[in-house]
Amino acid sequence: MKAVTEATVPPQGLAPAAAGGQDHSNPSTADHKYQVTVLFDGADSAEEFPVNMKVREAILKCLPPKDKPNVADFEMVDANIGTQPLNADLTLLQAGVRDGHVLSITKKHGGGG
Amino acid sequence: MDAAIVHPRLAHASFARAIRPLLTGREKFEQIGITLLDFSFPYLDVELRWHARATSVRLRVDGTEYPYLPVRGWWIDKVGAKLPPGRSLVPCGNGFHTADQDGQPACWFCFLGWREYHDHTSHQDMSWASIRRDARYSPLQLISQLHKDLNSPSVGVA
Repeated sequence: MKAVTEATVPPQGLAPAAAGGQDHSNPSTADHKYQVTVLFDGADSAEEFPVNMKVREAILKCLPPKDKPNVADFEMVDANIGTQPLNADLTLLQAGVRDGHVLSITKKHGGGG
Repeated sequence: MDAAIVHPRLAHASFARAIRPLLTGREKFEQIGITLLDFSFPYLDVELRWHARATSVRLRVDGTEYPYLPVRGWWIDKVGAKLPPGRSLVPCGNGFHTADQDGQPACWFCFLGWREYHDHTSHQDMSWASIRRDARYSPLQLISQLHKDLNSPSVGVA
């Protein structure tokens, strides 16, 4: 896995610009869109998400219509950050998503039924 | 050759089409911890990164009779032999079962979409036929789900 340092991923809940001033080292303007790859339902797709879109909204955008009412049943992992699901209440920027990252969407509880 | 329900060439084509994103874009899957080892129908072998154990585990997916029947899956060692529970090499809990319905040691995945799930006496209320066109139960999504849940804090080792 690609090493991720504190410099590339903000602490959970804290945007790079939050500590003071605009972060020019990383695209964090509201109109910027992260270009990422999403692996979901057996396919890989190139997606663009606004940096300030919440993780939950990004999941919702990827779900087929039948699953949209149950968005809370799904979670997103950013492989460039780690294996634990992203906090659905954070924006993609806050969660640490960046251009070129690979995201996967799965059900929260896949097995054990 | 054993009798087949699905002609082997049709099953081969269906299975290969279902796993094409992995065959053609393996680096994307490697980034999330799924490494393609080999594909020789009916078997797809992948390695799943098991972060919590700082190791990995190999998975064989059997596409025989796919998509008329769901894929089978089991853990394998480096030479392709089935990995049994009891050697601290396979996951357990959270749907990763280590005993079959007769109580005999056997690893199987209690996840909708795997053959062993649908064959189990407790799961006869959900037919594979009713979900097999749903991409949620495509082989690659099944593998992705398995990999994500493998790395859940509640999964142990057996």
